[in-house]
Amino acid sequence: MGNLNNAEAAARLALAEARAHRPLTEAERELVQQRIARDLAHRAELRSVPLANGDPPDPPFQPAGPRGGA
Amino acid sequence: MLSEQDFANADLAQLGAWLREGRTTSVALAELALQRLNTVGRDLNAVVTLTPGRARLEAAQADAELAAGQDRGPLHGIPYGAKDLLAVTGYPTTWGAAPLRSQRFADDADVIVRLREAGAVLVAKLAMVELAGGFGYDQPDAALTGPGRSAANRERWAGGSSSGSGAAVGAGCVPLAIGTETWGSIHVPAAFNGVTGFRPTFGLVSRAGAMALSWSMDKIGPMARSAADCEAMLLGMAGPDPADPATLGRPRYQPSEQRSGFRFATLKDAVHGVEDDVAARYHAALEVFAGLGSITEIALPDLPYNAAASTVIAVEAASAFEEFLEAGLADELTAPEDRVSLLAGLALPATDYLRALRVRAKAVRELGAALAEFDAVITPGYRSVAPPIDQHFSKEPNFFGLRTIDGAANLCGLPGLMLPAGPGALGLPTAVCLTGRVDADAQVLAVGQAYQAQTTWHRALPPA
Repeated sequence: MGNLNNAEAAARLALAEARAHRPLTEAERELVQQRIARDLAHRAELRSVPLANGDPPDPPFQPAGPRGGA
Repeated sequence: MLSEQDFANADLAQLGAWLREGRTTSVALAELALQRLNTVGRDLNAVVTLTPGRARLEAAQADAELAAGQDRGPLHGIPYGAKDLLAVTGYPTTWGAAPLRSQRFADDADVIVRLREAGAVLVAKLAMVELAGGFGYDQPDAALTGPGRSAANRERWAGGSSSGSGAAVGAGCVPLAIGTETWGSIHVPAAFNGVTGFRPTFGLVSRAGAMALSWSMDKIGPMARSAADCEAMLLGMAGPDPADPATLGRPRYQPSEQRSGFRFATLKDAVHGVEDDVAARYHAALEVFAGLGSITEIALPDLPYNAAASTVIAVEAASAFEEFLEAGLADELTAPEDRVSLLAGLALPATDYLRALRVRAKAVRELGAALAEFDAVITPGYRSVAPPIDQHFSKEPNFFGLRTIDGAANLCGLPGLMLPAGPGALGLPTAVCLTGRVDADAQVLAVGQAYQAQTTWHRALPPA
């Protein structure tokens, strides 16, 4: 997992830098890396929650619009 | 003729009584508010834009209507301020951000329209952390107007992101203000300024015309001197709006007259990491709540609320501000960390976002079941009193990390009320927090009014 996270963190940083409108400074790159590390830690926490294949996101898709009326 | 200090010390009921007795006029109240905002409010960095032209028109109309026997209710003729992420025609709406200092909108936000129809008088657009704090700010100096200073002590932070709303009410510049909260942005400024702040159930108040940070977590709510004043303001703000689908299908707000016999919960780890002075005020508050009902200690379902909330906000904010980021406008933001941190959200996989939403569905179910028997969960309002104005949050361990109930409540759209709980360290305000069930807003506000009938902390006078 550590290697995967390192590789993924690097890939995410590359993507973030590609989306930036200018090259980042070293200090700015460090800030983005900190956020990416935090995001990866959050994913690990979220992955610890057992979810079944059929567990949908909230809110679910509503083809007829929101429940109820005005 | 009211003095400025009379005005600053008065709550909504007192101001309304003076208006109807003829002791003052709405125009006079608006002028007092404008004057105090321009001096005390600006000293606290609580003001972005005064709205004197609009205020005088609305106040004159309120006076004429009262003279003609037309009374729109408790907000009639009362001045209020709005966080500057709400669109108001004729004035800039900056979202607290330097690159948007000239931004204008063609229509008023829904909540501004509703308050005008309730007779309230808009006197100012109030300061806020730039872009509602969603860009990763790490210090109070993260706003177009400078760091928000607490009404209790200008060398302390007012909290964020509704900094100006909290400080302006706390300093008696306005009796009422609109705040917004995605995660803590009403509650923290309420705690740090010694005012009462209410976060409604997600969808109770329309966000049409408000800056979006997180479509599935943004809420708009009142900040005032008391829970009763918050309820009066909420009645003027809430209701269905086709322009905000989240408001459709929600029950209409109905006040509760209950003032005793409540069922409270506390959390087993409620004071873990909380500073001693705040914990002492929390325990003192529990003695008051014990006289209002039963108290049962519970544990929240063990779920990663904060991780889910953080992931949802990161992705939704990155999407909401994608063009802003790509255009380089973030380079003009005040806090250096705000200029780049949200780029990480553009690189967050869709599967992570969806997993956070799937965990939220589970959290909604399990939290709903855990709280079903209770009118409110009582917790300390915040782990400390307001920090120094130059504090960097990342240098304070767990500055934003300990509030599990706040993460859970905001993720799941639960209502919450922050109540003054008396002075802590250095005489600065502390607070207790009530968290309720979805759509049990009236119960939470009823508990708050019962608590404030037994305490005087919310009556602490603003500085002269």
